[in-house]
Amino acid sequence: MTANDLVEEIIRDVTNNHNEIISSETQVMSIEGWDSLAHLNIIFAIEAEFNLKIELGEIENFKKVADLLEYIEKNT
Amino acid sequence: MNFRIYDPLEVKLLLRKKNSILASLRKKKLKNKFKIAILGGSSTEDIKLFLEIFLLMRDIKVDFYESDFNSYYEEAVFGEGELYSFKPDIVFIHTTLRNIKIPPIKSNNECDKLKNEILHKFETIWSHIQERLNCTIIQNNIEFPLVRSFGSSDSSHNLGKISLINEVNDYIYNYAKKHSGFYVNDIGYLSSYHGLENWHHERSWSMGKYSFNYSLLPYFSFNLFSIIESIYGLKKKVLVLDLDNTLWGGVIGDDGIHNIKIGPDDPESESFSRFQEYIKHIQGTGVVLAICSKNDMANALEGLSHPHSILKKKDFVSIKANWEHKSSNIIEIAKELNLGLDSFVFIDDNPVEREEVRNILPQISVPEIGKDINDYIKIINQCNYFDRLDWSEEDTKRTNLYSENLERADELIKFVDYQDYLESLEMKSIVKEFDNENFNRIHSLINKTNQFNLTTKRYADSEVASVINDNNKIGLYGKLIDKFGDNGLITVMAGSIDHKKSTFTIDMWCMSCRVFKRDMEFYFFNKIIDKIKLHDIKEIIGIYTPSKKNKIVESMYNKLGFIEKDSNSENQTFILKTEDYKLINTKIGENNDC
Repeated sequence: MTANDLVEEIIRDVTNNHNEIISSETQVMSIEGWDSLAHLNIIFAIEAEFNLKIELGEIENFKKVADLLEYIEKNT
Repeated sequence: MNFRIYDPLEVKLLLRKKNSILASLRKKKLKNKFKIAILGGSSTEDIKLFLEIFLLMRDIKVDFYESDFNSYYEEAVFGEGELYSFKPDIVFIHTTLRNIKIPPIKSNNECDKLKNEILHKFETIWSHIQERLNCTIIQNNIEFPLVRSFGSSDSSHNLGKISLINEVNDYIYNYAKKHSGFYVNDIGYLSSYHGLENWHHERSWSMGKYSFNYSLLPYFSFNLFSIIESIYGLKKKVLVLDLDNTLWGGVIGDDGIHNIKIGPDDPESESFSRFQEYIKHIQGTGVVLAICSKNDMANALEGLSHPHSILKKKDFVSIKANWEHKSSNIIEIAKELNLGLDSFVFIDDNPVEREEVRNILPQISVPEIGKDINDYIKIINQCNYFDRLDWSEEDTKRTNLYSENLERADELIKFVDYQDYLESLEMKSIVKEFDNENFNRIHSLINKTNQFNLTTKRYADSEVASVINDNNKIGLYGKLIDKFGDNGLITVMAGSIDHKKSTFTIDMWCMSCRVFKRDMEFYFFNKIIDKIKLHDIKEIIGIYTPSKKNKIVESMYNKLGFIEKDSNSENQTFILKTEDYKLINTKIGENNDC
């Protein structure tokens, strides 16, 4: 599974959203089921899957799915 | 469900898939069992979510009520919100260190004042709830802070935060000891277990207003779930163990008694001794032990006779050492003990055996104990199988009780006529009204009995107490002794009187499976009739609520001469005119000493 696929799976699992089309350009807050708690959950799951420690300041910068993917690519 | 979420907890999976797991579990067709209100001092939404997952896994459906954020005090004390109209069976008060503001303290006086304020606030909440709801309360204790003011002396210095928290916790524990139906959710233990550095988690607070690390939520809710399981008597009763590489290192049949690893001689042997010690402790809490091993019986017994084996032959109520499937052996053990398979835990180092038992008997808990003997204890402990809220002397005697039953079974073989056998048991019984002396045993029998249980009702402590205190209710218990030993308090019945109609309705009637087929139910019912007649009762109403497990009593009321009056999909109602009742002869005599 590629990083992109894994991130998409995490987003779908946590938001329980299995229908909406999610691309790298999707604004995260526009995804149905993505609220502040889901945000926290997704960060946790990404940290666990990619063995990362994401700083609090970084989290606010994740606006698009692509931002997450870029961060993961840079830090793994 | 095609995946495991506990035995032990699959935390990562739970955190990721919680929504879809819950959605699929909610499809189960279950009857509503009870209501839980959660009063939160911080976010409780996902505490509730995980709790619901665990309860549904155990086939328990619950209605939940959650207080508004941080309104636990207002709702409990001033009756804001809908707590009191919801009428919960259990109120869970989720307060943590975040709800205790500890400002810098300058004097002993200030410290005492603060402490009294905190204690007063708690006690006000509890007493309001208990007065108005008569329900069970679960209260968190308080975890330690990450940061200390006085360093090491924080716990001994009067003005230290840790010293203050210890005092508040002691107060909570004392309250729990004095008040039945009040239980502590030990987050002090949970936070130490996972480490304070991991527990206190600013991001979980800032992003979700959770008072501790969000990723520990499944552990937290599982702990809470275990308390609720214990309240409703759903914990495990039997621990079935493999022998080779489980109770000792090596294979007794190949290596011989002198070469198996147990005792103080080397680290591996010591680890197996430690494991046996742990099992011995579990036995002490009232769990009975059995063996299921692929071995010749002679070898199995030789291993247990090893001078360093802490567990001896007499510690086990059943030993199956043969070459049959383990699942078949466990079914045999369940039959011998007359206990449901869902009260069994099976421990085996061999993953193939675990899988065989799990596949054939999905009701049994078979933990993934790992490959290293040093992990076994930790993993079994994390599964919370044997949590216990109350404990009576009887619990320590349980192994003897079952062993005596096996002796009774041997005696039965000598007799051709069953009545002659019953006569030979020299049974004596005593029947009395509920009293405080036997409170714990009465409560635990009601909540543990699944088979001889006419209405499948469970009673919280407060309900047992109300039977004792309410003049319109009658509760009776029966004890039975015979020549092999004291079976203890083994049957209970409670019901209420309607003076206007001169009727008595049996709300609950249970009997321990230990004394099935001894005619104790008939002896007991004769005594019930005697007591009821004193209240000028003309009719007795009996209700049978069929469940998966109580088929054994489906015709109980017919046997006693009741006539079926009414039935729907849930209940069958029976009526008996007291004057029509004919005493049933049994081989049980009266004894006022037992």
